[in-house]
Amino acid sequence: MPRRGGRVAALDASAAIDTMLAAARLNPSRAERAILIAAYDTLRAKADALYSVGHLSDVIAGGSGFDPASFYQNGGRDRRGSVTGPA
Amino acid sequence: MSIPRNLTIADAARQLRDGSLTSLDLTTTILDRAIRANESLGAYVEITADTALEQAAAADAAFKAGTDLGPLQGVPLAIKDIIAMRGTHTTANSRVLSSDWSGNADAAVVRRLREAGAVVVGKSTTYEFAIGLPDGETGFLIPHNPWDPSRTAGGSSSGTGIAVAAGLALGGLGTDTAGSIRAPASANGHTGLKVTYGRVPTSGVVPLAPSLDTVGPMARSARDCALLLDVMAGHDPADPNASRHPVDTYSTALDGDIDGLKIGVPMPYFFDHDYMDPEVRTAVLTCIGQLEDLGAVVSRTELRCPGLASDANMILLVAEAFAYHRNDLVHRWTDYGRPTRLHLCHGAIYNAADLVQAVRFRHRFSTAAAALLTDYDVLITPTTPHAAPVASDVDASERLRAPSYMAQWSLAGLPAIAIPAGFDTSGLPLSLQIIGRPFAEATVLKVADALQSVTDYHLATPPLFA
Repeated sequence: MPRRGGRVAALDASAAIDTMLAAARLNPSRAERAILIAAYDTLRAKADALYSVGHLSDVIAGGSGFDPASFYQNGGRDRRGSVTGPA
Repeated sequence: MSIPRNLTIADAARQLRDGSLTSLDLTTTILDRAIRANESLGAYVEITADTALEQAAAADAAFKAGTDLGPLQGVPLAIKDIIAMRGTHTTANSRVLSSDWSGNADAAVVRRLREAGAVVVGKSTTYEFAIGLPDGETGFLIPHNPWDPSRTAGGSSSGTGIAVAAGLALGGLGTDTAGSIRAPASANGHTGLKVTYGRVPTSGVVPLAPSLDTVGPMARSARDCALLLDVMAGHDPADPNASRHPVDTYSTALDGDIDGLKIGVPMPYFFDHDYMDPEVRTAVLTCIGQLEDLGAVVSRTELRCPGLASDANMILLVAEAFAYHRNDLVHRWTDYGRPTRLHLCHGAIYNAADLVQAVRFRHRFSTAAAALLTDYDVLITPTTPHAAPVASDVDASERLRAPSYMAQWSLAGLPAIAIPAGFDTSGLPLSLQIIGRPFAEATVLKVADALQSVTDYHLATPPLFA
């Protein structure tokens, strides 16, 4: 099973990298493509882990409106003026 | 006259005013060292000897005429070569950046240094676009650690770090997006300050990841960094993210009094990671004990999700960097160095939802860090989990595996200073990091200065360049 799993994972990485390269219009050498494939699972794991964090629903409605400039200009307070953020 | 390699900006400023030193003598000595050492150390992309000597002569003439522009007048500095400077071509250590990118103008921060009378020795080496790795194939010199040339000099502000450590400048500028000031400070054994996001304008600086990029001072001591920041900080209308938050006079905050100051030491992850060299842990905890002896109140604490914060910072960094470079990567793939183009490609591996999730996490983490810093004046961690590694051991895959103790504070936009914390058994510098509240640079500098008043690690010079 582990061997099969490993093969499936490698094939997934290869296909994912080819899709990414085509979408980005990039054409690296074969050796460079292999380096990207080797890094793929590690890179994906880092992003996947962010989805495992619970309670992200407490982030301001809309979810992605973080404005670092105004956040720090206000002494580390968010737009509602709370140091600790919304309850 | 003999000018020590560990001369600080503060001491030079005193000597320039009491007449025991001229800027021309100082600059001539620094230039001579820089020119002789550059082939072996790779500190500078370009040494601007003629203009440096002109600036030094002008500084001396101003002193004679009774004009004093402040402590930087006549002091030789290095400018990282992703920061625009009139009279030079900003290269970003790359064949890709257009030679007229800067329009022969000064970045805001360089203009401020010039107006303060500083002398610029040259443009210092960076990793390509502040993201690659040293790559001889791009035609630029490889930076080497002056303590052991087989070791990395840290990145990406390597050149300024080497210059400060080896006495090829008294201080200078670096940029920090995930640790690029603090890592060279750690590797080369000097002091480097990542400022609060927006504290120093980034106008005229080649961007890496604009929501994370900062420009900061690098020098031998915290006091020297404060003297530099006194000049560098403040709003600039050309930078939409430059803050209008009031600017402190940082150098006057260094009164040595840390009695009752609350220090939090986040132990999990920062002190118990598998990658950590026990010598680093011992050195940093010893320094924290010295701060406690000076009157600080130290307690152990915990910061949630430091590893995820480092990963979120990386995702934001590569996504923003890829967006900036995408069209050039399509058309000029082989003009980029190999480590650079492959690292930039990581930004295309992540999708739009990943980026949004990283932004959402950033908000959550920044809020948590701000809350923790309501309980403490500063946090202290190691800067890096070990001394500078052998350069040939550092590749992209190693960078992905190794933990970062610096990226968290970039993600949260907080000020963080790296200062020397001793040496390992092979004589390489070790470093600790002091993190403060938003815009509390004065506090982190004050704590760093207090420690440097009872230690002398920051004054050590590499034996090869003693």
